[in-house]
Amino acid sequence: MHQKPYILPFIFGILALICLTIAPYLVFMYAGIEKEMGLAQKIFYYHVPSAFSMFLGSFLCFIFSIFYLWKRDKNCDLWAACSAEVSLLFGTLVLITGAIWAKPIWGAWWVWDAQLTLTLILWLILAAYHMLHTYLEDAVQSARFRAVLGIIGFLNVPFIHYATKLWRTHHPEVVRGEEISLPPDMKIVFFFCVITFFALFFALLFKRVSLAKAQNELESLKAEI
Amino acid sequence: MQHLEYMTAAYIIIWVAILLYFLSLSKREKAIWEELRELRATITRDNTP
Repeated sequence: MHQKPYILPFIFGILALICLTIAPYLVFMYAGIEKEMGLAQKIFYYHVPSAFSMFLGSFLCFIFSIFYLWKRDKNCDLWAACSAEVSLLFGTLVLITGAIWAKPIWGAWWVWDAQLTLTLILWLILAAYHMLHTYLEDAVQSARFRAVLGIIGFLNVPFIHYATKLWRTHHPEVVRGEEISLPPDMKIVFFFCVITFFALFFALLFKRVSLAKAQNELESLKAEI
Repeated sequence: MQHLEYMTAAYIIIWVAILLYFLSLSKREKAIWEELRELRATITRDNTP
């Protein structure tokens, strides 16, 4: 009988909680205030790690989708679906916080810039993935369609990352290859926030997987009866 | 304190969204485990001679 997998969500949950307690102190007290953007620049510390978490989720969804199409293992589909859902959450946060940052800096909530548009496309793919998972009744067909969508979605990620190099965009380029163009205090806070968001991502992912496994167990038990 | 309102709005939205998602997962998980426990108890009771 399936046992409730407490340990991984618990470990990452504790790690995320510790980091989340320290992160606001670093963001508001340690990192300096940028001269031109003022406090709006501080949105960057949660906006960019949210984007990285979205990419991480898309990457996991891509890997598990490939394995699902190859092995037809339901467990791979379950992990892909959970990764996509958590990725969708962080994607939503990226778009909202990006718009909030853009308003005072660019004077508009949204511009049809290459990086923003590609991020919106990835978000729409993830939303479509979620809708297929929720509404398509044929489980096998749904899993197959979603696997293809999960693969297409991730293929978009390198274009988002390199959009500032490939096209003329409004979006600031903070990460240039392996180099990060930030003062040392901001760089430390940025890396800490990335770790915080990755811990949070995995805490939520393991919790979502645990829920999906319990749901599957309940359905199979009901089918037995 | 230039753009304080934008920064505050962004941080509030992030925390509220993550908290709501976490609470929704916890609530759904609790309901499922409760249902599973009841179902197992029913099966055990039915199988007892």
